[in-house]
Amino acid sequence: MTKKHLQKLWLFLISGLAITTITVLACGGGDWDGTEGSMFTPEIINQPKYKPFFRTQATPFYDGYDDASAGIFKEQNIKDWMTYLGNNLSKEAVNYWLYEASLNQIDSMIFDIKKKPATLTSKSQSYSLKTIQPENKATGFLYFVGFAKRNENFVAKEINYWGDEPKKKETVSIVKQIAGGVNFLAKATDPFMKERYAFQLERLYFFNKDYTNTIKVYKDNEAIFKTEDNLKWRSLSYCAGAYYKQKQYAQANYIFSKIYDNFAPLQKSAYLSFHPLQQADWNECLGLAKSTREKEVLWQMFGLYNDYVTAIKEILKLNPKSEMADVLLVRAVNIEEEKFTGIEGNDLSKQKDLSDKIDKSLVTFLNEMSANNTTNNPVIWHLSAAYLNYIKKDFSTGDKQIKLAEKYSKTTNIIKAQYHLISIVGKVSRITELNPKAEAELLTDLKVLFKDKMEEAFRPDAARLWIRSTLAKLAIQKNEHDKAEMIFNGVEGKRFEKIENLKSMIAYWDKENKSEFEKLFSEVSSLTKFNYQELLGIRYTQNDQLEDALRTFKTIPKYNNELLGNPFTIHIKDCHDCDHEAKQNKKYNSISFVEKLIEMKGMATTKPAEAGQNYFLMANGFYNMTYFGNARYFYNNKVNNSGYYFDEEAHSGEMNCDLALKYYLLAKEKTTDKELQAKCTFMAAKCEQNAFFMNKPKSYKGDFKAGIYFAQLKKEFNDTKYYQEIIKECGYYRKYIGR
Amino acid sequence: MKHSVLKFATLLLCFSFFSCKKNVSEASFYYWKTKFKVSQTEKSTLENLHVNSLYVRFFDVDLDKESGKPIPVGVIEGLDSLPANTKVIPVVFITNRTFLNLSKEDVILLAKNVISKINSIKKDHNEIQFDCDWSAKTKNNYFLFLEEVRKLLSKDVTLTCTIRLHQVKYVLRSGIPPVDRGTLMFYNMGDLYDQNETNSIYNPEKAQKYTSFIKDYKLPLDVALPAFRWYVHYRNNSVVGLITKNNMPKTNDTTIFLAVKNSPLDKGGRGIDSENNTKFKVKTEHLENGVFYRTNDVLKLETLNDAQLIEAAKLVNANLKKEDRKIIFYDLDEDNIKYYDKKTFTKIMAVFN
Repeated sequence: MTKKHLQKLWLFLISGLAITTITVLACGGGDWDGTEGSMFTPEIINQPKYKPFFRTQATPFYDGYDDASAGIFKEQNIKDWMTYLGNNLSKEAVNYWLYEASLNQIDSMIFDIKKKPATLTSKSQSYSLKTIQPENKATGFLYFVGFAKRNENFVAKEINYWGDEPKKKETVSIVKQIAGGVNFLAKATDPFMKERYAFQLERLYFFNKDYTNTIKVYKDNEAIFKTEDNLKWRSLSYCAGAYYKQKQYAQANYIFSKIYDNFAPLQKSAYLSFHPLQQADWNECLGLAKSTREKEVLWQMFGLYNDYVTAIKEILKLNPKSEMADVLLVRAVNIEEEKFTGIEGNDLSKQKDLSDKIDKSLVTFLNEMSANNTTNNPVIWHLSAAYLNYIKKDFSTGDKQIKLAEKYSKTTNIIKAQYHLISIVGKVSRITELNPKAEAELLTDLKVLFKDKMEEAFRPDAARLWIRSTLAKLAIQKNEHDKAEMIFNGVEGKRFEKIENLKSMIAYWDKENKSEFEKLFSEVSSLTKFNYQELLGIRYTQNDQLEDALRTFKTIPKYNNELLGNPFTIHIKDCHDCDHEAKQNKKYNSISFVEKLIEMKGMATTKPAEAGQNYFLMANGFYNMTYFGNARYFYNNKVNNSGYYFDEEAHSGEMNCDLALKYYLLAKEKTTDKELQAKCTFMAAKCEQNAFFMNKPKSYKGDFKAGIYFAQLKKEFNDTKYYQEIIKECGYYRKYIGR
Repeated sequence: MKHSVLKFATLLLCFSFFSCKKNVSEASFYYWKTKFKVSQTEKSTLENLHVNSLYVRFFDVDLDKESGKPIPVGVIEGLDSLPANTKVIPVVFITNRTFLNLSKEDVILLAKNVISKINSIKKDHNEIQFDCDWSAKTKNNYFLFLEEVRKLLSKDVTLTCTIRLHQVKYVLRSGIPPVDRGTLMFYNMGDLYDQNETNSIYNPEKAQKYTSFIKDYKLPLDVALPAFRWYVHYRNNSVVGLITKNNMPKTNDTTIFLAVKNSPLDKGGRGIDSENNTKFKVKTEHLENGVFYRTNDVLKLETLNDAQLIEAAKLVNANLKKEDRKIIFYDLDEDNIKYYDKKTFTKIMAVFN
């Protein structure tokens, strides 16, 4: 990756403690970006300027990265030069001479203007500067561009992060450029040109590590830089960087704070560079501030960088009406809520008790501020205080705060939505019993939260999840398990291992006299009745109730759950990919799979001579529909959610080979073919091994343990052809027989 | 994902290996600073333990704050001052977030970039190690990265990576990285967020939750042991942060910190103040080395004393498969090793040999 090295001159290294990195504060683990569990929308402060500094852990800034400034500077530079050159040149032409033309072409253009022989490319000719009057304006531009281009070797060096370390700078050349710069600056009379030469010279000094002169050039030419110009702020950045390099941290941080507050394109960069280290530096830095506003800005940056509560207090001490505290306030709430929201999701046993996690001193402070009502934007204080009190289960204080917020509750859509959300959190968190009265009281609010269209910035998802889990927990307390499931799918993980629970849930879906509350949750459910019917069909199959399974699957409209491999094949070594890729004359789905099982079962009964073969194929089918087989897709279901992959907490039906084992043994019993018997015995051993693996004692070394079927193989089937194949393919067996 | 599951299922049925000979363990250290300079104390520690190779952090990889692309950060300087007879094993720490949103092409490019960067710092290696606390979301990208790195290395270079205890216990979720060997970090096993936690770096009771899984781990393992200290910074019973060697506070300055009495390190430990206390309360609100301390914040020193470090070595050794391995102490820094008796490291090596 190659990029222009523009502003990031004084990077701080993150390294050092890396081998023991932890994600402090995030309870969910490394993947959590911190906003996923949030119910509190920072946009309520309505200050777009500070949006990049809303709390996030995913990217350095709430709106991503600090990547806009280079483009902005380039655009502005082109515009400035177009104006300077009398608007006689197109944007493309100015862009060409500033950023594309070679030094040779720049020199040639100068020659051409001065009517000396010159070789210009067709592009240079088409963007010719000969029309610019007076002539020395054009040559002045070209001399400057030539000078600046030569400086790029030292300052705006293309840095390839992944390449070798940058070569040592040729000190002689940079010194020569500096001398040239001093000369150009002295000779320049035009303020426009002077400003540009001063910037170039300052930057050369910086990259030559001559920090004293970096600062001097800035100071000597301070008057030349126009406040509205990006060059002023970029020059000021180098000056601050030079102070930092000289370890004059107070000065450096103070200047960064001015850039942060006054020049949006460098706001993020200035914040990244702001780095107070010791109390003494910080006191000195505060002493440099020339106005209350400047002090407020410093404290705001300190709050973003370090301690937000201290910063808020200091800002409001300086100016009770300051808007500088607002971003810190919403950050404080967002950071606080990271303690009790997270990715634990629907496992209620892991849901943290929120009340004692909250920073009590923060809540006390918010309560005071909310009651005082002295700030510029009282509603954000009322909402913050109400929210944290409710989470802390202090309902009476929470109610007081939300009451205070009420009169502002319709000022903007986002305030309205946030007010409403916090009210619901207050109502839901105090419910102790989910009875019809409580349900009716919540209904209107829940409809709004679950069904209304929300502003994009608003954060209803975590609140919905939290409300679902809280209400589901209450339903379980009343033994209303179906209702709990409807409110919050998956709330009782293993409940649907049992057929009767699935039947009960399906009946609940079909219930005609649902209350309004129940209707709402059935409407906003991510699942349908058919998902439960599918799982019922799966359970019937696992239970060898094949007719029931088929009947159930067939009630699902357009049901076509295709299995990847032929579920009736089996190998010594399981190879699912091979089975999935193998040519299959018939592609099975769950329905045709069960139909085939039924057909085979019938054949086994009606044609006893073929019973062994049919039971063997059925056993393969039963094996393959478990986790160990090639047709795991069979049990892939949204309710069950154990999916296709191995899950440590997967449901027993999926990990259990007992049914397959039963049929392998039945097949062995019914056949007289010794080869088939050997096969059945080996497959029985696989089932036996899988069962062992699933329940392996912690103390057992290794993965494998030979059981009764290996012994049978060795004793009874060592004369079969299949036995030789086993020896060839199975390392465990070879190990068992000591080869 | 799918592949790892299937491989796992296949593994169930087919493999076997044995070994039977006297095992040899070799001592080593991590070097985890940005400027390479080994002090006299550090040098003699290396000599006493016959350390002939050092695991040196070459650089970190993290996302650039401007572009969001992975870049090297904190590249080591001064490796040219390396004593001629010391072998260096490059270690690269990669933040988990680096892998979160990379495409396959990005990962392949990153592998190329990282290897060429390592070679630009120093060529010719016998081993290269990566350190990344990968998670379920980054597993695929990290493992792909390791596979790509493997392709770029000659066959005689050993590719290793660090393995955290949770990755050993939850092996099905974490997967097994495609490397030649792992380095088991036998530390950070306690609950950092629990203020009643005696020591989050090492807690023998909590260790039991993990140790039984070590033997089943399907990679040969080296072991990293914790010879470091840090402060856990609490505010209102919540963890605010970890304070490590680069910004340690002066807790023996009684004008700003107050030792909580009767909180000494275990017998034999060497704490900060004369009474070996480990808990300190902030008396005066202040900014120190970039960390802000509010009044009443609590700092808890966590470290292992000599006896505990030996105990940890015994505990992990009892749960390891018998094989040759390296024992790597984290980390080689005078400020850490000065707290240990010289003989402790030798005693630990005796545990493994």
